[in-house]
Amino acid sequence: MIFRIALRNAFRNKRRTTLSLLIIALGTGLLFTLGAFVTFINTAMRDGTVEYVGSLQIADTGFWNQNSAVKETVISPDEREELEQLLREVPGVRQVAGQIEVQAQLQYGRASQIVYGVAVEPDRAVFSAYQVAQGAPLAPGDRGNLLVGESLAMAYGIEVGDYVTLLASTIAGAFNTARLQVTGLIRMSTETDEAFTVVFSTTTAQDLLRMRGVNKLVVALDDLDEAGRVAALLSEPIQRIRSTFSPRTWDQLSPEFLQTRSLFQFILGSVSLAIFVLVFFVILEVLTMSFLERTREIGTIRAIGTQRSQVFRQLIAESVLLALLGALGGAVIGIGLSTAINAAGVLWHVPGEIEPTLIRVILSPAGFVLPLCMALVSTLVSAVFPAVRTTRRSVVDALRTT
Amino acid sequence: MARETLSTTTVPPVIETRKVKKTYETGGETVHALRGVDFRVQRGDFVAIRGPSGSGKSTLLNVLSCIDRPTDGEIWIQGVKANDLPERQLANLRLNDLGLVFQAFNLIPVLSAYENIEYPLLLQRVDPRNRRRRVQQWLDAVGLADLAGRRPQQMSGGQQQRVALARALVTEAALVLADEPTGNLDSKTTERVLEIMRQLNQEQGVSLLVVTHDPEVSEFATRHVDLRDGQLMERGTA
Repeated sequence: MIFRIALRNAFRNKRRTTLSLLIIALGTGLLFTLGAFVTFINTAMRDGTVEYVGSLQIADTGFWNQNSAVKETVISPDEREELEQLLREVPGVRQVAGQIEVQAQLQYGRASQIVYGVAVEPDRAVFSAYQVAQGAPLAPGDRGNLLVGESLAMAYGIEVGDYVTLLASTIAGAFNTARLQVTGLIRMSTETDEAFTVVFSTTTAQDLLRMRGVNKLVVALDDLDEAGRVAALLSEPIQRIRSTFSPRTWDQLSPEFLQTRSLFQFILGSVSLAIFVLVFFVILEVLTMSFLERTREIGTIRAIGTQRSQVFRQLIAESVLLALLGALGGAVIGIGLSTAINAAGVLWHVPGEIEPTLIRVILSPAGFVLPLCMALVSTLVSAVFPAVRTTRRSVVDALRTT
Repeated sequence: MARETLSTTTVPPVIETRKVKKTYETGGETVHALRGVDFRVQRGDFVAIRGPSGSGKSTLLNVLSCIDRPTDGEIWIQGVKANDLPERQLANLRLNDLGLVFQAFNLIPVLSAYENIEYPLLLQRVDPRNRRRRVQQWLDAVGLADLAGRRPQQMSGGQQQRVALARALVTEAALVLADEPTGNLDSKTTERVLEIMRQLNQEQGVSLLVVTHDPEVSEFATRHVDLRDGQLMERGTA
């Protein structure tokens, strides 16, 4: 009966109820859409990060902290074999690749520039943050060839087939040079990366740096969400191979991602709070009026034996009903808005990025939890004060109210 | 809180007051609405309390209905001292032992006639089958079986008051307290409602206490009590 009365009371004043539902639905819908947009941003950033760093990496702590001599941090072929054997036993590991990072000076004609070299194993594509725009990709077993960022090539007039020289410091500390042929020009997500990145094979890097082995192992997992669990699982066994080995997950390797995610979460939190406060005050006003108008009626039901707590529950049930219906409306608004945004094919030109990003708002049932909680909590909190005030009133006073 | 009960071998009165006083402040002035009221209603009584406006009729009814507390004195309902009971137990007392009828009917507007009568039975957690039977029985008794599905605003004042009467009686309360039950009704409807009340009193032994200033209502009662300046004076029985 409590819910029957609550339901009927909720729709007693249709205009007021419509206003309440509209406010809750708009708040919930906006939050739902904004949350879905933030999910899109996070997913896009995560995917972009993973293209660079894989799901997780294994290296010497000295390499991570950059406080040891390079030669002391190199993973030797024997250690790599042991590590790979270990990784083969871990379910969900899709690919393992060695990688070497090289700071070098690129010379082309009379021009020179410091570049960031990424040495990869072409037959094990884990580093996938580039696309070959011109020429050919590196072939398995490649030695002596190079891929150059398009912006870098454009800045110095480098073309496919040209030769460039890389000057780098070997792991023993001596200078060494390598003359490499440009087999392709690559396109990356940002102009900065394109202007400084060159990609070549680990074999080429080993020749240049006079080293055997690699700096790190990059691991790709079937399920990215498993990265933390896999890292924890590997932590101890890899230290039996070398006590200073440690794993780092993709998000640990990208503090920028965490900062940006935190920023968006802060924005989402701020908007949620603003909507919460707005819904709170509007619903407080509406429910106060609604309960106040029914003071005498509430006095009557208490006079005929309804407990104060039962009246309180009835009033709260009304607000829960409003919140749930409003949130349902919000879900419809959110789905409609998101579908419209996705259908419109809005392009977003992120500062620094070469290609514009197509905005795709990602809706998920989990994304509805925050708006639903916001609607429920704000409506409930706004109902508590007028409900307490109404039920605390003496029965005689309530019955005297006209 | 333990209930204080009368230790008597005889059947206790339905309601009994002992030196009940009620004072309140209004506009900085102390008003003595009830000045030591001693009064009892036995099972099967039909009592009419009369008095001019401001004599304390409504205050007395509020105190007897346990929706207001006396300043002093004792109220005993079915042998239980009601004064000191906490609000929770008072609500139970109102639900199970007392039936209230208001001048303005005070039905729940979002419920139908049937549901209004059913409401106290739901509070009493009466099982659905028994509930249906009793609601139907009282709808028949007040002659509103055909209007069971109507909401209060779809009924006349007389029909609403009959629903209110049925709501007060459906719990099988020991005493029905009515405050000017015919105050908002025309004379023909008043007669109809009073006739129903008399029938209930005579045929089913329902105890009734009616506060009124309408002489016509008094004619239906078996006991007449006048309230003047906060004190009761019995005028004899019919």
